[in-house]
Amino acid sequence: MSEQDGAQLLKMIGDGNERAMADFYRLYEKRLHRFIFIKLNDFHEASDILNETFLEVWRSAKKFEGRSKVSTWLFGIAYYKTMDRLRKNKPVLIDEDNFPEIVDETPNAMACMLNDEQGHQVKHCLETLKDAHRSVMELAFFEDMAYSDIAKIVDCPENTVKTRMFHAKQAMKHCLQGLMRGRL
Amino acid sequence: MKKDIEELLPFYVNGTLSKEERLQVTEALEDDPSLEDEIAFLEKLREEIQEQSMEYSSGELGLKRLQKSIADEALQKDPIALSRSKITKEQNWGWRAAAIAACFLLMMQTVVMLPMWKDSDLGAAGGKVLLQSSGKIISVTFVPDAREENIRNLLLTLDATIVDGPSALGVYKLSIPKDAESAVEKLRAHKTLVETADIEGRKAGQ
Repeated sequence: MSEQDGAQLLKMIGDGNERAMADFYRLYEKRLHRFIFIKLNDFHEASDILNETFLEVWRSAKKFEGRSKVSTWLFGIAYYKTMDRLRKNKPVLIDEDNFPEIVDETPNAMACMLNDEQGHQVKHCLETLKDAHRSVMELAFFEDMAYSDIAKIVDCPENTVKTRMFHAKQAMKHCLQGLMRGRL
Repeated sequence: MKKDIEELLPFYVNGTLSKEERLQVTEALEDDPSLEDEIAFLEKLREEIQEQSMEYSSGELGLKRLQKSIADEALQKDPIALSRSKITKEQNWGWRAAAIAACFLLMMQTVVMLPMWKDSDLGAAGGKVLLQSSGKIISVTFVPDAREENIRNLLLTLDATIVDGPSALGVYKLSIPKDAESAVEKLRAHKTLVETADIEGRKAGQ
C-alpha cells in the first residue's frame, strides 16, 4: 500500500469508518510499534503508546489536510506521545546536539568493520545512542525518510536533523570501534 | 563545506535527496574520494538497521484493544448510551446470579427427587392419549439447559417425532419408526443434551 492508500483510508476514518481504521492499523502497526519500542524499550509501554497513537488517529483523521505525508503525520503523533511518556518516566535533555566531535582513528577500517556478524553489535550501539539521535537514525535508515519529513516528525529545524544524524553516525562509529578494539 | 556534504550523505544513501543535493554530493565525491568510505559505512549501517528484527508487534490483539478503546470513547461521548450500558451490565449481573441460583435449586431438586421416581411418574401430564404414531415410543428427558435447536437436530437425525409431553417432570414421548434400541443408545450418547432415555413400558437400565 502506498502513501496514497494511507490518505484514502484516513479520509474514510474521518467519516467514522471502523473497517478503514482496522486496515490503517494493519498497514502501519508493525513499523510504528518498532519505532516506539526502540525508544521505550518496554513492550507493554510501547503497546500503550501505540494504542494512544491510533486512537488519536481515529479522533483527528478529519483534521488531516494532506499537507504532509500520512506516515510523517502518524510518526509525528507517535513521536510526541513517546517523548511525553519518556519525560514522565525520566528527564530528557532537549539540547542533545552538543555532541563531542569524534575523530575517526581508522577511517579505512570503518567501511569493512560491519562486514561479518555485526548485527548484534549494531543493535547494541543503537541502544547506546541518545534518544534524539536514535530517533533520527531509525527514521532515516529504517523508514528511509527525507530529513524534511523527519524534521516535521521530531518537530525541529531541518538543519538540526542533519546535525543529529551526523552525530548519531559518529557515535555509532565510536561505539563500533570500541567493540572492535575489545575484540582484537 | 565538507561537514555540510557529510551531513547530506545519510540522505544520499537512503535516496531522499533532491536532484540538486544529489548533484552536490556527486561533485564532492569526485573532489574527495575519501567520502566513498563514508558512504560504504553508511550503506552497511543502513543495511544492518533494516535487517533488525520486526518482532515488535501488538498484532490483532492490539487491534482489538484499539477497537475497544474507540467503542469506550464513543460511549463516553453519548451519556444515554453510557447509562444504558451501565444498566445492562447491572442487569446482566442480576440475571447471572438468578441463573446460578436456579441451576443450584434444580440440581438439589434432581438429587432429592431422582431416587423417588417410579415408572408411573414418567407418564405425560397430558394423560395417556398419544398422537397417532408408528413404531415404538421412547420416554426422554433433556438436561435443563438443552437448547431447542440441538434437540431439534437430534430428533431429526433419529427421525423421531414428539408425540406427547412434556410432563410435569419434563418427560417427552418420542415415536421412533425404526430401531428403537439403537435410537435409545444414540439418545443416551448425547449426555450433554439427554438426561434419561428409555423405551416406553420397559424399566430403566433393561
